[in-house]
Amino acid sequence: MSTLVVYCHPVPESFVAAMAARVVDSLSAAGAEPRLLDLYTDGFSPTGADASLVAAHQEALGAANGLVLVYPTWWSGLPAMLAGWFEQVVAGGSSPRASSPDRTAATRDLLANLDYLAVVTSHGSPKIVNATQGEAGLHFLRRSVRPLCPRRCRMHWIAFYSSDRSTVEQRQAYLDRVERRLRRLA
Amino acid sequence: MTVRVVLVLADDPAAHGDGLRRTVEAGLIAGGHVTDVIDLHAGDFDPAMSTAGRRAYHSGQPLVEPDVADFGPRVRAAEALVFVYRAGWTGLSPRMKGFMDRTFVPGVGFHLVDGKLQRGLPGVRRVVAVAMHERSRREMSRGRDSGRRILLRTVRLIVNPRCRQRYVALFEAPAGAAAARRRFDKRLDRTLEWL
Repeated sequence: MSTLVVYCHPVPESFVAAMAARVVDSLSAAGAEPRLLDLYTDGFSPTGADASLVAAHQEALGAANGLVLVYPTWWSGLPAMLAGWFEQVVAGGSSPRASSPDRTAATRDLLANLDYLAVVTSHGSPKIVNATQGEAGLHFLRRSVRPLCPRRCRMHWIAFYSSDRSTVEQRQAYLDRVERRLRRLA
Repeated sequence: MTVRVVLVLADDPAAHGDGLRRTVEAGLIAGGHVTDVIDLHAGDFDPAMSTAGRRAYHSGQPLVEPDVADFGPRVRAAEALVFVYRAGWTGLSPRMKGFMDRTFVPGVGFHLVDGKLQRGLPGVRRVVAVAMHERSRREMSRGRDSGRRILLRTVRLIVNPRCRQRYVALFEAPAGAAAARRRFDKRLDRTLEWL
């Protein structure tokens, strides 16, 4: 079992960084061999990433049994960096001339080994505000990415809401929840 | 009525095909609107939120980097926002999303008072999103068009409560059928007149 953890946040002392650290620890403890891709330290570019870097990420994704995304939800969706990662790495390359069915097939091949997709993300605002905003990130992953994974693959949405008004205890409790959920998965 | 419009062009103008950019600009000028163009492709705009930018996020002076420094006053002066982008999958293009992430920060797009969101752009009464999708209409509706959700539903929370919105989309660009393209152009013209 190998698990790919894609982490996207610019600040190393952020709560999202703590989430990523806990994800990696939980997976290691469960024997799931996590591999961490840190999009910022890897120098990934959302609009024109290095071709060799894209190929390396695609190889890692193709070999993984599990994919865990760790990112902050900004404006109800994925950060631009992660959106660019999906467009270039997952969507079968960003060559604009490739037809849409071809790209869908390429994405299916890339995700063919996945047993689960877990999303660990923080929201600044409360759940009700995000529901009003339309939860664009959740819908993108559930409606566009998940259907291209194998049938057996399940998506797990492990989200933290109201982080702008959260207390230390709430954040700690959330990290524990992340650990419990991932240990069960791995 | 003259409207102060901020036009955000997210992606490569060549990729917009057949001068979409010119169509939009000409439409705005014909309507006699004062147009301020933010071209994210031409400058050295980096869509990814930077470490310094994120650290300054809650500081009260969030637009610390030169590539976004003047976006704050420009969007605050707007009465209408027009977004033009091209999407490869069912979300926003990374440049368009980067503009949202980095420009609509506390103190510009909204204010956080005791952790509660308050509108930052009460002067904006019109929002138009013009999208060129490489994917088909069917794929977009199955994917719930998260770009549309962000530009219309999320932005609605920070602009004037009586703001009205339009979404004009072309699917399967640039190959799409000529008839679809004509319908798109017509709808775009009508929308720009409506502004």
